[in-house]
Amino acid sequence: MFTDRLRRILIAVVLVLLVLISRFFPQTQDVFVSSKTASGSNTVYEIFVGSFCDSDHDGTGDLNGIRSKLDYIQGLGFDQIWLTPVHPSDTYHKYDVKDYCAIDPSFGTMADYEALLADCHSRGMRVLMDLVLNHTSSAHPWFQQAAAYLRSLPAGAVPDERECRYISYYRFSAEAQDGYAPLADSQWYYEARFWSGMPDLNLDSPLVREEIEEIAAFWLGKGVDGFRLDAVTSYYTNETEHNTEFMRYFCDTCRAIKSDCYIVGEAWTDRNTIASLYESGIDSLFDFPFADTGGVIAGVMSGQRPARDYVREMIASEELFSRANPDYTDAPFYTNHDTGRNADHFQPGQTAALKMAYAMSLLMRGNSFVYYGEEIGMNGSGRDENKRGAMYWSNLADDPDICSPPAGMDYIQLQYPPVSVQMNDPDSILNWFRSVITLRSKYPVIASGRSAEVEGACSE
Amino acid sequence: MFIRYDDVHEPVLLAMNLRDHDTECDLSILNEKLELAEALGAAGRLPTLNGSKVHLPAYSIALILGE
Repeated sequence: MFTDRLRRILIAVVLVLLVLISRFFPQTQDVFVSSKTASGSNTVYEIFVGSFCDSDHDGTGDLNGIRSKLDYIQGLGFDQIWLTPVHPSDTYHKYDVKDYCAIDPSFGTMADYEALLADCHSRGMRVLMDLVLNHTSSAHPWFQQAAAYLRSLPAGAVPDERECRYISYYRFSAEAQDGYAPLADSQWYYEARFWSGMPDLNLDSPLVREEIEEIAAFWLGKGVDGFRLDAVTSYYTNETEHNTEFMRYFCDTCRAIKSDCYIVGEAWTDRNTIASLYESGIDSLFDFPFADTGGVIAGVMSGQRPARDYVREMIASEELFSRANPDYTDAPFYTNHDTGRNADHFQPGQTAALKMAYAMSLLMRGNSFVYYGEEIGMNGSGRDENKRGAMYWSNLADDPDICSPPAGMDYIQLQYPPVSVQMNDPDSILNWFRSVITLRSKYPVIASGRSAEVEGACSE
Repeated sequence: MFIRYDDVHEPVLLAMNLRDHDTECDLSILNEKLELAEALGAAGRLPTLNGSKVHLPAYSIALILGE
């Protein structure tokens, strides 16, 4: 009896305290905080898996290699990792998937992936999976079965989906069309906008959408925290409204499974198109207008644009994107696996400018993405393989962590020392990244707040 | 050049000099007592604050709070 009374009194006291707290700190109700930021540093480390760290000494980076470097990644301040595709594929980059619910054997096993997820989650780090839904590999069983069926048809016969469901998974045509490749040993053509080894999926097909729902459920069930969607403007080539509809469907699908799932899309396009795509409700779209050699950051750092453009373009993006999706989270980045590296944007010796360029990206709103190796100023541009070179852990000739370079990569003379050296140099690029990420982490408003320019305070 | 990051909790001023020469900025327009909370220098030298005047060496960052 006494215990019940005491409990009731305690509950009443707590309620009164809660009311008082909410009166004294009413602003907590009104704060603008994007739903997917405002804890941690909101920085994402992009890992090109095959080139990052080789745990089994076969020359290829792998999942256990990444696990062994989580102290390093977290020590720099990153709170999320994005792995380029890990699914089985015949190419070194894995952007042509043969099985969406498996791990490429060269990267490890499903158990290794689960262990990586567990390790990251125990550290409070999120893991983003790269998901390629625009196309599959031509070696994917779906395509192989569709192709075999079409080859078996007599000339002039009309394909029947009841005989082979997989013909509806892709777009086949009896006539040659722009963006279509000929299907070997047949009279048929198929849509393959990137190249013939990457047949485009027919995302209007209910059967394909069922597959996608199963794929999303499979990985979210494993504990994946979100997806990076590859090539979203290619789902329906340059049909923004159609692409927006598909992304809305995908985001709704994922959120029905995991409400806090984070989704970021690759829309390599202009700001207005990105704004339109934000109407899908997707959390983030990479902020391409700021990235690469043609972007705002490079333009400002080269002196071709005034410094104030950095702020003004940021404000313009915030206004435009937030109109399309008030809950959007910007996804600034400067370089990635498709762009030349930061160090190649500058002349040798321009180390301070190089550091500042990446700081501009790291101090933008939202989740800021950093491509592996940029924190040590690795070089790499030109052909794609050059942009995806082996992470330079040390200058030991026999360092077992260092991967073999991708086949076809040019010889590249690296300008800056490896991780092992930069770790101990307080003025290194690596320690600059650490300082800027620490700043971002210490002041969450950088990731979650609105930006504005203080005009007239200073000149260029 | 300056950016002001703002939300209700903790407005901050982030001053960044993106050029290879020093610059000075006068923040008296803000009518606030300012505090230099963080200073980073990509080229080695760090920003300083004197009253409302911020000196930004080449390629440096200052994070300033209003008191």
